[in-house]
Amino acid sequence: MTYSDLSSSDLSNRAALRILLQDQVARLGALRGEAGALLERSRRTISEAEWHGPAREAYERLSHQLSFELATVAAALDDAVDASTRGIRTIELAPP
Amino acid sequence: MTDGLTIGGPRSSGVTTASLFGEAVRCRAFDAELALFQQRIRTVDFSIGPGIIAAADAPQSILVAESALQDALLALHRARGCAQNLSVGLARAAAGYEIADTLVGGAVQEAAARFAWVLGWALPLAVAVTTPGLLLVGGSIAGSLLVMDEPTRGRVLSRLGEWVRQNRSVLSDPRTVELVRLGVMSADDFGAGVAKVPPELAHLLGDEGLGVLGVDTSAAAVGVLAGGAGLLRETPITVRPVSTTLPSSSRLPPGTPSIAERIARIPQQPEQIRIDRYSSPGQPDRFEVYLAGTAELGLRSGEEPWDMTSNLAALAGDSAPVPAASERAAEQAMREAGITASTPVTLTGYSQGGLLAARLAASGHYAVDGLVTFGAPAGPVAVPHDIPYLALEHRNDLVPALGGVFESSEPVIVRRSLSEQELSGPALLPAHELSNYATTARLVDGSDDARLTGLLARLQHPETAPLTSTLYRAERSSG
Repeated sequence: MTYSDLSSSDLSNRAALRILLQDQVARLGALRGEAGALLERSRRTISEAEWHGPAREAYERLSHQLSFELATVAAALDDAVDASTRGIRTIELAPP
Repeated sequence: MTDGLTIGGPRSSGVTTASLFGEAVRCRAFDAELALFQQRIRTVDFSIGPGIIAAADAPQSILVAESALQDALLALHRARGCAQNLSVGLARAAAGYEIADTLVGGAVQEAAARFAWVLGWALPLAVAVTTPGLLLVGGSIAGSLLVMDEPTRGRVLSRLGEWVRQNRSVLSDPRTVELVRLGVMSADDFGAGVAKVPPELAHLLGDEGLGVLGVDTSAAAVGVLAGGAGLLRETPITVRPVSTTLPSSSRLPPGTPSIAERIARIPQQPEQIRIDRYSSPGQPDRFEVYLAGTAELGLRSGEEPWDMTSNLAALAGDSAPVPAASERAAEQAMREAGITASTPVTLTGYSQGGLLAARLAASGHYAVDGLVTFGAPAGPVAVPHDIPYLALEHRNDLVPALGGVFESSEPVIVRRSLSEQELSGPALLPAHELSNYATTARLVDGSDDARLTGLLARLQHPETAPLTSTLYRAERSSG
């Protein structure tokens, strides 16, 4: 199917999707910022921990795993923002 | 950031368990935060459902975005698992450290007791071997000092004093403190060795066994020996109120004080006792009693009851022939203030004042509903376990170590190692300074450790309103 094949109903659905996508990009952008802050806090907590003892190694391993997972969350949100932005552009490029 | 506090039971701990428990709490809060974050991503994810995607014949990139959001949710799920494991693991590790410390502490004390018994048993031999040498060296030093002219002798003694001041950091070394604690706890075993009591019997009677012998009996024995030399003798006392202020002039806030405020209310010389009276709606008046620390370090009893004589008598406790003068003074002031066996009262004391506060709480003569001590050698005092009891100790402070370990009471003990800067003051024992305990008290007030916050809540009586605050001065009536 090409854009010229779209009916008026399709076009109106696309306009609605575009608005939803724009809203999604804004909200995902905010969430991405917060994910970055969470990641930073988790990293800082490890570097500031001043205690030592036999449990320290396990603590560091789990803390690094936590930071890694939060970095994954941030990267996935980046991907979601990029893909959603591409989606908006694709819709905008569609002929009226 | 950690506050450097170790919060635990009667045994010491090498790990700052307060920070571990604190981090466990923070990890739990972080998990809750991640849960909210997860919910918000789900909300965004649901805002563009499959219906609109199909109806609008959405571009492929929208499906990529959907997939990325799913990846984010999965990673968040795993991150929450880490945060939950961290929270549970940290709390278990802190508890484990405390158990390990208890076991290690018990074993070390046991070994020290046996070593002390051997030392005591071998004392006569050691005396026979070393006395000639000691007499020779001591006699030479004393002789040299005697033949020196006055200015030279002054210079030598001044340099000796300077040397002691320069090397006073040894007195604030936590290893010294622990050695002193072990020495105090093993004094009864040493005595048993000297008296040739069989080691098994000494162990059974000592504080590692039945507790018949311990720090209190050792202190009583020292008191008897010193008394024979005319030192450390108890005397009668007099107590008088010095000043009474109303809340309007003293500006006491309603409710009971924080730990830092308690430090600020401990009286300074010449007064030794402060008693604050509070009204509670529909209940009898309640009291807060504050007791000062040692003011006089001489071995001969003078006018001041907050002296070494009282220290030794209070440490000896019920083994002392006469209660400490400072303890009798506190009881008399409390009686004059109207505190009876049924009056609710919270006791706060610093150093000797803390030891007295613990003794008063253990006496059973008062309805004590809280006990707070700062740097107090209160180890031998058996405070009933149902009294909320908070003990602050610095790892560098020798004074609490003079009371040994808490064998028969269960305070929540907050310990802290002081920084080099805090130990750089001019005092001989800077870790015992009230100003340093004030810093620790502020950290206690700001701690989020569950055991501490639970205890502090039990010490609080927010419905009370202050009525009067009275300062007392006690004096020995004959020296």
